[in-house]
Amino acid sequence: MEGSVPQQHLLGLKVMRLTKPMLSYAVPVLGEPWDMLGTTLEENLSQDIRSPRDLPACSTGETLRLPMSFGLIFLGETFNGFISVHNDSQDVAKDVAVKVELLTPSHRPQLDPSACEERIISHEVKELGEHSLICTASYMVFATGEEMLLRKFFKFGVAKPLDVKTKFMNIEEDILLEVQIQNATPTHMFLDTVTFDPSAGFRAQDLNTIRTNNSEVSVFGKDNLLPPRNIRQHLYKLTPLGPLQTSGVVSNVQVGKMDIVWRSRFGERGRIQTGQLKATLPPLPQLKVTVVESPGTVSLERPFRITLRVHNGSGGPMRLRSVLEKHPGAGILWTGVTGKVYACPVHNELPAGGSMDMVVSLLPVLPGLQSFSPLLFVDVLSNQKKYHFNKLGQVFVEIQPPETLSSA
Amino acid sequence: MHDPIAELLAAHFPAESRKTLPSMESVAMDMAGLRRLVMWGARLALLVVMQQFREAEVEMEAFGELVNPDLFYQYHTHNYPDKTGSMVPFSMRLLHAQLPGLTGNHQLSLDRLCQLQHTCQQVLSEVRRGYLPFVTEPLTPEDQQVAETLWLERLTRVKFCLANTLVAMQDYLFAVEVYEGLLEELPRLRSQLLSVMGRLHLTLGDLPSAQTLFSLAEDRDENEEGEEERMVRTHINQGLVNVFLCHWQLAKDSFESALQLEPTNTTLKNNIAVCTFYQGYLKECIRELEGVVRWSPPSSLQPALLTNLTATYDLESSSAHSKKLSFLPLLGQHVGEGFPLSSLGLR
Repeated sequence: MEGSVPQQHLLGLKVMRLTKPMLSYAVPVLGEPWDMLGTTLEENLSQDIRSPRDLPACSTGETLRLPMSFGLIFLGETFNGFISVHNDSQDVAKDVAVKVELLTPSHRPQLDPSACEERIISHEVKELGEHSLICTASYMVFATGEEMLLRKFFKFGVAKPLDVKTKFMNIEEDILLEVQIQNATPTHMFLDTVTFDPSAGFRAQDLNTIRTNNSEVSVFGKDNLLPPRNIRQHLYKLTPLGPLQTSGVVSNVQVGKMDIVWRSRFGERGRIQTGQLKATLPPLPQLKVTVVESPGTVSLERPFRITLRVHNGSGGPMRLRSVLEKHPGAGILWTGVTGKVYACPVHNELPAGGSMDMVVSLLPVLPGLQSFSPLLFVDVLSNQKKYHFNKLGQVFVEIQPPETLSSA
Repeated sequence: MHDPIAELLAAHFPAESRKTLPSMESVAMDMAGLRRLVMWGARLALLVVMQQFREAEVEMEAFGELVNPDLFYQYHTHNYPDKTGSMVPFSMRLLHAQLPGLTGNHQLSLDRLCQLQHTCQQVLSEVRRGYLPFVTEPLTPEDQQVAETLWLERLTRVKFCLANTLVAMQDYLFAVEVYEGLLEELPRLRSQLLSVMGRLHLTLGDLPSAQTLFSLAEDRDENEEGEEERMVRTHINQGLVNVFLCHWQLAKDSFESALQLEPTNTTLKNNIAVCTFYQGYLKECIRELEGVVRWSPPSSLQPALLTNLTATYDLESSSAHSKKLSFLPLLGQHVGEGFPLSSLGLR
């Protein structure tokens, strides 16, 4: 890496990026003993230290090679550079002071003011985009007393190592977070740690391990390597620690951030933290109906019962009248009285935050996997507000074997 | 190539004492004759050793896919009435498969190597049944033993070439799989194979797998090698792990422990110097590397050392060019034509 040097300077300044060394490689060309060249090729190869001494047919050696080029640098990695200031002239340079600054896209932090001739600088890269390393050597020419300033610029670009995408799914009060990590570098990445740091209002559960008898095994197996352009999905369950949901939609809730540490080529370490991930919470349902008890399989044209739990999530009490609906072509029909006001705990009302169970009878009329018919609740107290429940659940309807029908 | 030394010798030595060596002009480009084919194989191998990959590829193209009828003994019944089969030496086949990868076409190399592997396996199963391809009489038990050993050895060499091509393509994981497959066939090289697998994992960034493989490599098992060789390898592996973790002094200590067991090992001296550089001691590193290079030519005139040395020269001063040139007399005195002068980094 060199900038332009004015001819009158006594000193020279060079910077070399200290990427990790690589293992040597050889091109093994081997023959058989009865070939024309006999064992000459083997002898020739055994002399070259680029080839591993104990496995001549292998191309990966054990000799370390210094880096030949700058290579690529990614956000989260550490820039290590060797700065060399040298005096190749015949004159003495006195009071040599070297200052190194790194100009990032946003600001200019100072690295290392020092008077050393050879120096290794280290800086963890925290920004994307073009960076400029500015090295300034100030000195005095001993012979003339002239003060000189040698300045060199070295530019390099910082690229993005990972693409992170998130998907949220709301399950009752919890949020399921799927984080998709894609390796955007051209080499393999070994994922040291991938953790999710929840923000203050949430508790996170890591769903990326399988619990066996004695231990927890990662879902990804023993392999923690992410090849270039490959994607890995991590799953987390977030539980709010306090009541967060209100009657309206809450958007841009900060749920936490991802912290990813990786290693690449021969131990180059990188670490990034994403910004706060934001989720949108749906509003709390005012009336919630869930099936708490239901058979999984029923027989055709034999009535059965299910238990529903009705929960009042609104701020005030409700007096509910149920309307059992029937659609043409429905496979399961309600049986019973429709339009009935249900007997509720307190004064025939369901208080705010309260739940009650109700048992309902049904009759399956079509075989196969059938859904329950829709159910409508009307709140008498709040001006006939209607709550429609379409997808309460499903049940499998079997056709009875013919022998059992002949008993009549 | 114009060779003034050859001319001088020819002028001053009598004709009788001169040997006639085959030169390119004396070998015709026709296919008749096994001897010429063997010579072509040798020539192509030497071109590759001298890194003249393009020339080798161009000359190899004349032989097509090595299945032309005139490459078989049956075609030349007037010369070889009793022999059947291909005249192409196995080494030449292997070279034919490796060549595309050396000029960038790794996929073609892989295809050819897989085909060669398949052929070797077919021949091997024939041999195990007691027969050689194209030969009707069964093999004697002694011959069968020899043939089986030979073809197993050839199959192993093909697999090594496969792994090398995969490494060149940077498909390190697949290369590790190939080496893993070789573990069973080469129990005597178990420790060496495990070490290579570990080193490839270090290249990928996977330290835990590398350490597991290195500790397996330390087991004594069926290795016939001496204790010292095993200890040297263990120290080198440990040194590479320390390089991975940027523990430069610990890495140096590991390499130096190995050096005490093998004081003439140039690889170890190089690695120690490289660690010195990463610690920040540029001048010390240069001194160490120069010491190694000039210590005992020609064996110490290694391209690997010169490449590292010239990189440090570029960093150390503006007079790097003249320092690099100062090696030319030494090289001219000791090394042959195959030496990669690019390692001097002269522009």
